[in-house]
Amino acid sequence: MVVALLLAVVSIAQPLHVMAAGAWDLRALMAAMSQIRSSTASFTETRYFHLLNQAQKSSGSLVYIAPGHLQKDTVTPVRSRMTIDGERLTVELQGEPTREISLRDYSGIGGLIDGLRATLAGDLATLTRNFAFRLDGDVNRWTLSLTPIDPNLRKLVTAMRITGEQTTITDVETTQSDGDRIDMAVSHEQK
Amino acid sequence: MIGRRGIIVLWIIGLALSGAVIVNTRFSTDMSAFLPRSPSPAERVLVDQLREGVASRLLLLAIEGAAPDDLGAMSRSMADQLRASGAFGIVNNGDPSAFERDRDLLWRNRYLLSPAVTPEHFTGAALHEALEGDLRLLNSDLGMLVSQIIPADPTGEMRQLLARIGTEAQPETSDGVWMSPDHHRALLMVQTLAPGFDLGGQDQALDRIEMAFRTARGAVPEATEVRLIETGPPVFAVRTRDRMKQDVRRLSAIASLLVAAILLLAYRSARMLVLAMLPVLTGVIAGVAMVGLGFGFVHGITLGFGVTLIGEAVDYAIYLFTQTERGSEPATTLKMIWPTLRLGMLTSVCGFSAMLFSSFVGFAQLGLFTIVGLVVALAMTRWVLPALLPPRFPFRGSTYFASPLLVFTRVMSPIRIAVPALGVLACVAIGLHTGPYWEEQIDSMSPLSLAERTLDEQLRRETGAPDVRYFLVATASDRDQALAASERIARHLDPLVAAGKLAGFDFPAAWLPSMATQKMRQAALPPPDTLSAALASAIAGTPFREDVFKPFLADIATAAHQPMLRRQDLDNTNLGLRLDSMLLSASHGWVALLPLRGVTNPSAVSAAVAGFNEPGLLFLDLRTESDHLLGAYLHEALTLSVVGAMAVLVLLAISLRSTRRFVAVSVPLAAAVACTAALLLTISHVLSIFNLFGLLLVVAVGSNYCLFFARPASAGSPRHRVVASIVLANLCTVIGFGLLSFSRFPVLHGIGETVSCGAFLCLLFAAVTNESDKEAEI
Repeated sequence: MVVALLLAVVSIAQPLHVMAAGAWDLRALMAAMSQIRSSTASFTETRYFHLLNQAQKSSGSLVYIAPGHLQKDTVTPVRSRMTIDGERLTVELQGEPTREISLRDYSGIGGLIDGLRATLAGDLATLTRNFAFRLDGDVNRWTLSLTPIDPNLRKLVTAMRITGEQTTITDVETTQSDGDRIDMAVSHEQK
Repeated sequence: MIGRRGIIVLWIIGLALSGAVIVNTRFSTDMSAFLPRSPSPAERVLVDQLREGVASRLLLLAIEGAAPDDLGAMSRSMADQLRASGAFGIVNNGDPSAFERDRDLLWRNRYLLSPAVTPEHFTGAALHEALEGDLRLLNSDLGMLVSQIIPADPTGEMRQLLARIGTEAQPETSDGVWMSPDHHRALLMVQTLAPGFDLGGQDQALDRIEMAFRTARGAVPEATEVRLIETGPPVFAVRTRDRMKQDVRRLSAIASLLVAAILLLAYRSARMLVLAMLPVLTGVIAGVAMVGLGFGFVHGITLGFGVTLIGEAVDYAIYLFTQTERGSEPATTLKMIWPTLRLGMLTSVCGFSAMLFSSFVGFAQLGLFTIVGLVVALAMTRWVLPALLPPRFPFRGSTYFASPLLVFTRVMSPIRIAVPALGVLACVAIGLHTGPYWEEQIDSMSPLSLAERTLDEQLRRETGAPDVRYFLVATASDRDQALAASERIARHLDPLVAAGKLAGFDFPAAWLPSMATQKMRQAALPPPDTLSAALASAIAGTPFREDVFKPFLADIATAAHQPMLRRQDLDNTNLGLRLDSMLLSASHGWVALLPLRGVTNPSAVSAAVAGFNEPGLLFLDLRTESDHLLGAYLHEALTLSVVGAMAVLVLLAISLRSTRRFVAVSVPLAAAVACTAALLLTISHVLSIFNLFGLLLVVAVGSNYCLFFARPASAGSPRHRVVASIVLANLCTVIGFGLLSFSRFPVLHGIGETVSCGAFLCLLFAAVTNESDKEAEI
């Protein structure tokens, strides 16, 4: 989830010329991501849990400020806020004590964040160390499929699929090891 | 009369017997010998904690000076080695697998452990509420983490138990290893199996850590700058002992060399030097043997300080040798100086005997050691030493040591009224001193440097192992009663936490509930049919599928018949150690300790605790209690010193049988003590307990000078010989103790500065006071 979120936000509002300039590959995508200083977007999430007999919908907004600040505000159905600042993950949930997790405490996720930070810096090598990836489609409609390599992370997440149109990410789908699935539709607001 | 040979044979037999006793004597470094014998309940808890409490065995380690990956690798390597060594009860470096047993224990016993378990907890309505909470969590960003355990634990018992465990801050983990926030240090927390008082065991544990570190470093050859930092009570205890040993050895080696050089200069004979040392050595051997017989063990400190305390015995030989005129027999000299020597020794014994009555075993040992040592050393000087000297031994005792003092006294004698005047002045200065006279804060006695204390605090913060200062202490006749008491107290404490008077607390029954509580919780679990019906009604109106909670139904059915949680089930878990730190077996039953966190207003908490109506419940402030202990020490030492000084005065008054001589002896002595105290007070603003012992020693040593000076001139050797012997003795004392004052240790430094200053003043005052009487028969 954290990963999907990062990818989604990071991928928002990529300058078109970067992609147009070179061949369409992951390298070009990464290079574009590293240009981003800050962005906002709104999201609608649909969660499919094997424990539940109906899908759960939620929505809210995403904020990213380079280099390490990331915020996800859920407005409906229950207000909550998740913040990633450096290596601290904070979850504030109505009626629950605020939880603070060090990303380093979850070695899988920690490795992933490292990989994504490397992505932001254009360090493709680190990204490919953490994921097996496949890029399908063309620049107008592409799908990036990521599979975690780290077994610790694979215990939580088995696959992620990011769909985009040109420079805009439209959807991030995360599949968990127990079969549960989270589908996050992202819509970018031009400012 | 037995002949020369007979005396020497007796002496050797005595030495051999003492040697045999010493060989069979246990030497101990258990610091609790210096803790009181009959402590109050609070002191007893403190002493137990210091002796063997979990805190006394806790070591914090940090590896720094390498790349984070290397630090992680070294941390894992060290942790593996230390776990395999068997010297540690717990080795924690953040490795999640170290908590697997704990998680498993909590999971299997969650319905016995969770305070939420009541009959009302499993009604349809309560379960419905729990499911709605679960749904919220699932929909939150924590959903991924909780979805796997909800089917077996929809009521969230495990979440609650984990939250309670985690109330103490945990360090950050990187790649499965604890790291400081800046990732410059890998952190480890280990607990030695050896209790705090077993310095030998602690020392071995530290060696193992050192070895593990070397091995771990060897595997990372590129990490050349890497360092290991160790802190915690075992490190401090061992380090203090080592440094103290080192200081005592170094300083006493220098002192011995200097004293030997001076004696050689005075006698120009190596043989005389050896002979001069024999009484002290014999005294030490006899003293150790006697303490071993009397107490069953000899404390390291008794040995270390005892030798310092009977340094006076070197003087005996000096008086004999220096006052023996060339060509005359030592026996003749002895006959003349014997009454004075004997009285001098008796005064010292009188002063030290007060220590025999100390409630601190260590002091009582020191008292006995000193008394036996001095008596034996003097007996040795009186009977054995002459027998060891060859007949017509050419004494070449030099007397030019006397000249400076003789000149000084001649100049000063017209104003010898200055001595009592200075004494009175010193008393006035002491009386006018503002602020406390005695250092009553335990920190002042700490031999640790500020840097070491700061580092300790920093590592404690980073590893989340705070130094707990406030405790509640409940006593009960057995373990289960103590657990039950801690449950009652916890119920009283919860409102205090809610009211913000406390940040939180821990209690032993949180991890091992009393039998009654466990049975009550088990009885609250509903039978399968009831639970199924309640669950079905709870699920209605939620999106949960009906069949997902089968694990929950199965676990409750198991828990309803599971065996009660017992102490041994917690063996080899972190929770077991946590329990052991709070549940102690004592001679008088069992003690439950409840550490309190975030106490901002101790008196308010103390007042609230008094209202708990729990008989025998104590609010313990370790800091205050330690200071109280020091206060008790100080009070007792003061009383004993005053009694000792009184005894010395009474002895002098009876023995001298002359008011004038009594005045001539006691005035310079009292003036020297008063001036020394005033000087120390002026320089360091406050006196320590060690200064007090120093003053007692000044009385012991100084009284000898005064007695010799006040002796009728016709009763002995020529005055310049007497004066030379006193100056020589004084020189040795001032050198020995003066060197001690260079020690980093408050105890050595305090005694050293007091005795060297006091003994020197005593010499001057006694010389000046008695100068003009030199021709008179007193």
